[in-house]
Amino acid sequence: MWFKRLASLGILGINQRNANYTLLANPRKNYPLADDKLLTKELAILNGINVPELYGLIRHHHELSTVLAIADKHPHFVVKPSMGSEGEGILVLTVCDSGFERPNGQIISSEDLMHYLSGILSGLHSLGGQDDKALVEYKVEVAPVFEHVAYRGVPDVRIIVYRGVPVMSMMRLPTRESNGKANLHQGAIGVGIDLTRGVSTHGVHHNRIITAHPDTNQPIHGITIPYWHTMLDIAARCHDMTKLGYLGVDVVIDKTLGPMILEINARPGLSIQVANQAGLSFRLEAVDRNLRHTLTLDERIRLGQEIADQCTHTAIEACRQTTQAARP
Amino acid sequence: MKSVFKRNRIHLIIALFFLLLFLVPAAYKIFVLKYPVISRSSENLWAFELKINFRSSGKKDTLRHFLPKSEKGQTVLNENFVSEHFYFVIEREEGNIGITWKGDEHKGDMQLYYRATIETEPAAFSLPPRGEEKKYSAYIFQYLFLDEGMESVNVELSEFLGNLLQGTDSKLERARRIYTFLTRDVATVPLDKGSSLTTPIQRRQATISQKNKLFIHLCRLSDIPTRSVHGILLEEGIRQRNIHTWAEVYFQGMWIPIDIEKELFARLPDNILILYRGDDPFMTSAIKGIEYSYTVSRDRQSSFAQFYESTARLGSKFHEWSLFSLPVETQQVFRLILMIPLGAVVVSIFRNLIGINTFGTFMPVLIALAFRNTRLGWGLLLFSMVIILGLASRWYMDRLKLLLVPRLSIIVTVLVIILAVGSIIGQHVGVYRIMAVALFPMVIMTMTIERLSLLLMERGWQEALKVSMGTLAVAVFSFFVLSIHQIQEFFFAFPETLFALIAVQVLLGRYTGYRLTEYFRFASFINGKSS
Repeated sequence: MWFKRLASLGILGINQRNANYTLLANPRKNYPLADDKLLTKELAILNGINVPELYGLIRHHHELSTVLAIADKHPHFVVKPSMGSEGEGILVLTVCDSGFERPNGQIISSEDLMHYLSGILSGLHSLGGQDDKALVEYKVEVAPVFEHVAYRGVPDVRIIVYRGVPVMSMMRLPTRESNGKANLHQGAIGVGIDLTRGVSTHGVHHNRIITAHPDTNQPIHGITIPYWHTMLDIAARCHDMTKLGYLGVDVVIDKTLGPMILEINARPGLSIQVANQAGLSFRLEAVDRNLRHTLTLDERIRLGQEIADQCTHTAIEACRQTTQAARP
Repeated sequence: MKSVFKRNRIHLIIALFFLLLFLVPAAYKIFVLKYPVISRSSENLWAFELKINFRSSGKKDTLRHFLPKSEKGQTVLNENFVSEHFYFVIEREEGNIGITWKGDEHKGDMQLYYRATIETEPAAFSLPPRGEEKKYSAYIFQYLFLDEGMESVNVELSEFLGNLLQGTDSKLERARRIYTFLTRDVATVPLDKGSSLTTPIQRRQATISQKNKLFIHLCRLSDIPTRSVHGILLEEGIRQRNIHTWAEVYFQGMWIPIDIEKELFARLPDNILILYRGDDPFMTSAIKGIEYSYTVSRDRQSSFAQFYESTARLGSKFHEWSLFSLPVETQQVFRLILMIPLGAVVVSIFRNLIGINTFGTFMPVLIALAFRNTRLGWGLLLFSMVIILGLASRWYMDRLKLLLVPRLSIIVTVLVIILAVGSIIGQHVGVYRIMAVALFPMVIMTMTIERLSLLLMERGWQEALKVSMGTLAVAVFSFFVLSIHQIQEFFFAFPETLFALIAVQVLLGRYTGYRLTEYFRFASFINGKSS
């Protein structure tokens, strides 16, 4: 029975995630800290966490043209809705002769851009459709290590943090198919990361395990991620500042500025398990068993790494046992 | 498993509590009040309306007619008398119920109405075994008196009867001989001038009314108490005044119907409404120019409604405060409203147990409810058409670069126009199902169109199609669940079932197992590639 097999591997299902983790660990009133990127940004700056610099904020329709003034000063910039979900509504732009150019070569006129911004303000991309703000911010430059495995976009690292303990992470590589976006169901590649060493393991593309990037043919396993400990540190501190018990932190590495957080997700998806070929349940349960209030930030990170190591071994063991049981 | 129960103990208790809130009143209704559990709509339920028209002269008018009563083969469930200037007295006499309307001194056109709901059932009359008749009571004895108006006993008739009944030893057999003679040997003619009783026998032809009279006369001559019975043949949409007459003969304490016209021996015609017995006309009055007509239509009520109507008068508070006490139109509204929570359970199951994505939570339920009026085929066709037309207008508007709220307002306006035009076309083409598009949930459709177009632009048509198909699939499934008539009637008769639905939702809300679609999502684990 596949139910039992998934359970024996500790795979977290969406119902269980909602009922036992997000609903229990995330206080409703703290959701805006994750859902509203402006709040996240302000909070991160207060806590000394690196974020992409905010060039400008557009709150009202009469402010739309300020984006042009920003473009004069910063030829590369990103426009995003403050309350967009799953990377929706994000526009990466570079100033060019006839207006603005997207990474895929599409040209957007100033008028198009203003209309796009007014759509953001009207709540087109926001979660509940309520009025929103548009952020105009620094465009993250791809770090050299990722240049060969990212197609027209910036790879980001998603770290799941449970009660302040980083438990699992993956790297998301944009592809031609995903149009530069880092969303797995749009065709981006999910790559599992060894939590202790910060080295990529195997990649998953459309639920199939792959070893090389489909567009660049470069190997995607064995990549050592720079600033790994800093990234785990940032992720764990995101829990402390938002008081969200179960969250996904999206970190990017800028070529010159190093790691910075892009956004925090209060309902992180479950595909990370596919990318790591490991289940979350055992790790989350292990955190519940071993977490003590006295643990320092570093101790929490170490706990997460130990749990991840153990669980990887036990998961492999469990796999072996179930497959052996299936073939007597 | 044990830990699951432990962790969710409070939820189990709440679910159990709501289950009890359902079970206790339902059990009380079923076992104490004897509610029927499964509703079947009765084929034999009729709405009968008698309408009397006349011009009142302003004197104290009276008029008398008969009313049907509950007896073997029919049950009068619900009676209603409507008159503006008349009061009435109901009296029983000789097995009939008569009503006498008495007017005040009002002048002018008058209408009197009598309405009743009647349930008929096929009545079988088993013939009594042979046996000696006891002495008749005075009441029965009167049905042996020969009509004085007819040339009662002439020699010719006695001779004929003697020949006809030769060798018979029981009254039943005599009656059957007479019946066979009249139905087989005497031809039926529409008109006959002769008024004597002997001429039909000589000529071997008679009208129906002559035959009926003759049957009663011959039976009484043979010492069988016989009377005539009058009723109405119930057929859908009848609007006339045509009273059917047959006879009843008395054997060993039982009246057995014999219908010469329809050639039925010891059987009532199907779907007959028995009105009265005897030789009186149906209506008697001194008023001139009196006219009456009746209408009959099938009344497709459920057995719950019937049950309620037949027991409402018992005065139980449970009945008095039930949904059946609402006006009929409001009842219809509640029949629908009570279905919405059930539809929501269906959506919960599809989303949380199976994992099918839909537009919004209640969109599928509302579509399913709209389908009830259009039927499924038309519903799917019309719904898709409306959505596609809406999408097309939304697609064009995208080029106009309108702000969100005005854009949504335009979509809702376009939808209203589409639905209005659709209804008018439906009316003129004669496909009335199309007109039901007016019941589509417009505001929710507007949001659907907006979200669908965004999904199309951002995620591509595959994703949009997937969610649309998911929504329609859940809507179609809900439609099938919601159109089960028995379920609808059950919810209406047992509204406490809603508590059971809450219990189900509490349990669904704590279901932490995998969704069916996660089989595909985590397929790489299941196939064992990871080991």
